[in-house]
Amino acid sequence: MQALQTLREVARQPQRVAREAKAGGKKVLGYRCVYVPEEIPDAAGVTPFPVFGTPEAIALADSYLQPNMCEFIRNIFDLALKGKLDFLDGLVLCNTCDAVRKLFDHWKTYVQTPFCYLIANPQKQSTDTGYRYQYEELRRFKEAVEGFAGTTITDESLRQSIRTHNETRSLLRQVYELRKQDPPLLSGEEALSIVMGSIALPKDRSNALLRQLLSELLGRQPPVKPGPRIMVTGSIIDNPTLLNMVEELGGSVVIDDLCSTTRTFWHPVEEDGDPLGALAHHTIENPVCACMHPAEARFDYMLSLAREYNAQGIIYFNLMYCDPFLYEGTLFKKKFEEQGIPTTVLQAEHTSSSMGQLRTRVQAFLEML
Amino acid sequence: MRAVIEARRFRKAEWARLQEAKKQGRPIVAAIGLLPREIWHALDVPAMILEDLSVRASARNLSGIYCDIAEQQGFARELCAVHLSLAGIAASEEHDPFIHSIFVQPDLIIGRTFPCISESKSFLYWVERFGRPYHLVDVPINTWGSPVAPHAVDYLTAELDGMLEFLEKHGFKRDPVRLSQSVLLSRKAMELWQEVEKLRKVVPSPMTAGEALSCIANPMMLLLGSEAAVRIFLTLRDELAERVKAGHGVIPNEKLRLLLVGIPPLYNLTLMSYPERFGAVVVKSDLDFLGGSPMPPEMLLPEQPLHSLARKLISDLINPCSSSKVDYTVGMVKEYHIDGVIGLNKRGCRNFPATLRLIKDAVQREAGVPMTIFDLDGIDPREYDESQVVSHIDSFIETLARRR
Repeated sequence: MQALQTLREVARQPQRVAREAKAGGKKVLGYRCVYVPEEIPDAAGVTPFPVFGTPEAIALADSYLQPNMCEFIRNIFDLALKGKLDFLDGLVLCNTCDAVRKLFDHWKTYVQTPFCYLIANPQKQSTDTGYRYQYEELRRFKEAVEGFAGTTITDESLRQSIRTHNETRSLLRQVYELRKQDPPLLSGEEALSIVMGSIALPKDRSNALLRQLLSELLGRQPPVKPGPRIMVTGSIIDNPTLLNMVEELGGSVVIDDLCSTTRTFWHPVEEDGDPLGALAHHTIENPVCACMHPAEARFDYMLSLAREYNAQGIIYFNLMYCDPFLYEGTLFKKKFEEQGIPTTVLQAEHTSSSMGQLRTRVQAFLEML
Repeated sequence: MRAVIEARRFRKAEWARLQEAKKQGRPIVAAIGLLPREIWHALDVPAMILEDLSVRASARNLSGIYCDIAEQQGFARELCAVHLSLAGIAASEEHDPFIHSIFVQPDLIIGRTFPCISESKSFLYWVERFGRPYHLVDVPINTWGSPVAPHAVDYLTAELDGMLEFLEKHGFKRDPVRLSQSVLLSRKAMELWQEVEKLRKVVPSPMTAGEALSCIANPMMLLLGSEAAVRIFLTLRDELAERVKAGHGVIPNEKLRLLLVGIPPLYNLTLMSYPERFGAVVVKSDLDFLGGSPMPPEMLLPEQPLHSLARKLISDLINPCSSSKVDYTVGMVKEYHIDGVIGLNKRGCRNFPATLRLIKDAVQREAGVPMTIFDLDGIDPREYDESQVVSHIDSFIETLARRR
């Protein structure tokens, strides 16, 4: 399982990948969240890097962003203030939640990398006017990246970038197919590491590793014992504590709907036609984020995931002060239960120690199933 | 003040109009806040502005009760109390007599994505609770400052048009002439507001920020686009002009001028005048521009009503991108001769408090004016500790006094 091990190591320390790129003379653009089209910087020869948090305590950021703000975002800002993201030449954010928008304001003012950009994408999906608006937003973003990189992004280079990223998406979907088995052929932690590692690496390396991984996984024995099949959704999870806990307590995490996993790869981008138009469609047609409307489309999407993977229960994980999921979890719990899928809503801070407090509730939920 | 009395009368009438409309069997629209009020007035929509409902509950010290109810429904205590109390009101089978006297069950619900996630998500609970048709207006964030990007204005214009279509589908009549008139009335009100603000910059201050909550912020939130807003601002302008001419200030010996950023405790507004015992007046609050806009009023064009309203909404200072608000606050500090800024960190709000440090650094750097920041939830009184708040204010005023 060499490929799995490599991806796991990358997932544990994704920043190494960005530092390597930087050392190799490339410009590195950090980004958050899932609606930033990394194909655009990639096509300009700039390394896109998904910025994750770390378990370390927040020190400097608290005097800028109030403690009742999303801890994940404060953690990223803290790392930047401490100089631990000094390999970034810039940061790209998109219009999702309050915390991300405020990170943009604070980064621009206090971190001051050469590039800082907020894509003001619409929050309502599948409308023609929304498509036109998003198209213009992406056109402006592409222009800004070209200026930053000192190069022109041709349609062909963007199409090629889309094809490469689509291959990653397709390979990850193939990996996720293995979770449909009972018991699944991957643990929750393995799935998280595979995706986090794949999205951090340059896509040609990811694709080679994922192909190797798929062949290595054939004939493998399931790593978890049979147990209630669980879907995990909600706020971002960038360390496996909760997923491990579920499996230690007898559940099987068979599917997830997270900013660090499926939301990044579930839907491919159209490869034909105008590449910028394809990326604009990709944003406005995929209801993967709780910030997006209509809520019904997002619920249907999540329900289809739960059904497809035969989930028997849903764990809705909310990071403290993560408003999109605090609302969504409360509203959707009832809806999932009306569909016959028991759902529990948990809340914790970003640190692993805080996760430990959830153990009793996870255990009770699994016993109930 | 005469303008305060007049504004309160119009606000009361606006809420009474809802009760009357319900009795007549007309559809009631529950609307999340600051969608262009000009549209409600032009189409004669009985619109229950949900933020104002929350504000009124807080002013009667009822928010805590309704927040508790929302929490029993599964909502987290960490959420914004404006929206938490609204969820509690929606969930309640029985109401406190005051809320009972103003609340009407909605027939239609209109939400918007702006300026925060609470605004964008909380109305969905109302949709679920009342099972009514709803429409969502997506308002672009303003990352460009001024001028606003044309594609964003076009998008929002189409979104507002979609809202009109929704209203038409449910029995309201689109009347282009009335819409233009409403935009014209809004423009007149905004022009008068500018005159009012010019007078408010005079030392000593002719009015307080507390009074402005009644006769500026409320009309901005409820009445723009109506004759009533114009009348209130006309009364206010004339009243302030008289006071300025007579050299009449809020207090006899004004020593310090304060700017308030954030929501004051609506359940205890006497706190707004507390600094006056030290010769300090809260002359301005950022709530004054709730729904106002730094956009020049002449850009409100009656011949392009939706386009104008879209531009105004995107230019609004409550936009989640902070740079316009920071710049505007620095401008206020200079123009209103502010000696100190008080910033309130409202628990549960991820939007405005996250601008406070940016404002603090900017006003210090660009105007040499200090700012203090402390926790205070202006809506939810459950964790309000007056002695702590007063102690913060005392200590800040002492600091300011020493600087003079």
